[in-house]
Amino acid sequence: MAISTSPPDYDHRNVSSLLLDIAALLMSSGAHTERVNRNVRRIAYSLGYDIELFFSFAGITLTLSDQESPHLQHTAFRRVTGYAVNLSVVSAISRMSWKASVENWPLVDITQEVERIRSIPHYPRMILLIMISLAGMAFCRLAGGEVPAMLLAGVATAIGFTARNKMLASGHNLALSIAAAAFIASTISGVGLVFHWGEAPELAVATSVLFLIPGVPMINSIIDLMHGHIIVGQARAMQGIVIAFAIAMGIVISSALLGVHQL
Amino acid sequence: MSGLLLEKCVWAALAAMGFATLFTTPLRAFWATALLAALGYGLRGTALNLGLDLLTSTLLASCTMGLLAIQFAHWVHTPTTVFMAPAVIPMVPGVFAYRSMMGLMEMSQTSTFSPELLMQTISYGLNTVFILLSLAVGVTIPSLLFKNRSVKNIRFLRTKKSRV
Repeated sequence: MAISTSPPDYDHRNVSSLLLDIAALLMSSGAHTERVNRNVRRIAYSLGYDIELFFSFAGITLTLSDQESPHLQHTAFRRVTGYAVNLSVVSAISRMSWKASVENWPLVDITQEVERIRSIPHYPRMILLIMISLAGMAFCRLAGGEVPAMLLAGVATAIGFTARNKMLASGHNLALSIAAAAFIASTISGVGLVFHWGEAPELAVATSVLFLIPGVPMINSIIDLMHGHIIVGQARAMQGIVIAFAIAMGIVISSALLGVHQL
Repeated sequence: MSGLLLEKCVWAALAAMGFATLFTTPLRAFWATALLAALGYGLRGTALNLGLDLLTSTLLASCTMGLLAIQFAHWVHTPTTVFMAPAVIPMVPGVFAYRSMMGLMEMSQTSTFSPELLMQTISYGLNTVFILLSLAVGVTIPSLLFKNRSVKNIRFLRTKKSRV
């Protein structure tokens, strides 16, 4: 049996488990598929392995083969559970993949770094609430709203956002949470429409639900389709459409309830 | 007129920063998000003032943002989409989407609706879809133009030493 000098031999299972951890973490944090492919491949090469990846929306399949002895192969599958955007994770893994391949990190270092990246927090809830309300007001201003509509949109956004977070945290269905948040936000901003506040009160309704728009799934869907990851691209587009229809449902119910035909 | 556009650029930057917070963009990339959002919005407004249609102006703005993002990625050490995704959000046609949906609602509630309503609803809906597509094209531009190499290997401005 030949003694392999470099690179060091790892257990196939540990390596594939680590690579799938990274791939699933990237997918669920909002990286597009080609980025996941590139980053995982880069790390695999630096550890001395060739990989083949198959992506679908629900999970990732990986076949690992040793560069020294290609007949040894190992295939594993990992589910991607839940998509919650965290672009700090995407950025951190991208940097790690470069460092790991340039400085030839061993497996242990990469595992530790992945654990650190996994625990990167979101911004504090209060700051998030303030920023998203300001964004709601900004949207209203960009659409041409006056000060009363802006204030209404800001308040509606803040309350709708809190409702969405509460529902998602207690484990409700994503589409239901979004429909409920859209309903609450558009009911609050619809008050301006009932009492005819300001010049164009319907702008407040239209912009108070914009914090729910599926920006990252939509953008990633187009990027994936353009790179040829058709299956994942379609799935992401469908997810975006489901969210858009959930928002629409919330607005429709609230406008029926308030008895306003805003156009 | 330009004063009003300038004010709107500031609001666009604010909206983009709100979404950057929601998407947990690293703090060091916030200035890139805000600057790109303001630039993109300003460019689109200027193009509209010069008489271009909305779709072409949006495509122009988003592609310019995409090209600038390649250089910005080196300065803030993140992939381009990390600050580009929140930066294009202020240009999302929310009011168009809302009006097209309300038009559909109105059509479904009465059996006799005017052809103007139908025309207007279709126009709003198509505008929504195509503006979204042109925004996404702008975000994709960095990886499409350079044959899908990593942005790390693309340098417009020479620097002494490449940092990781």
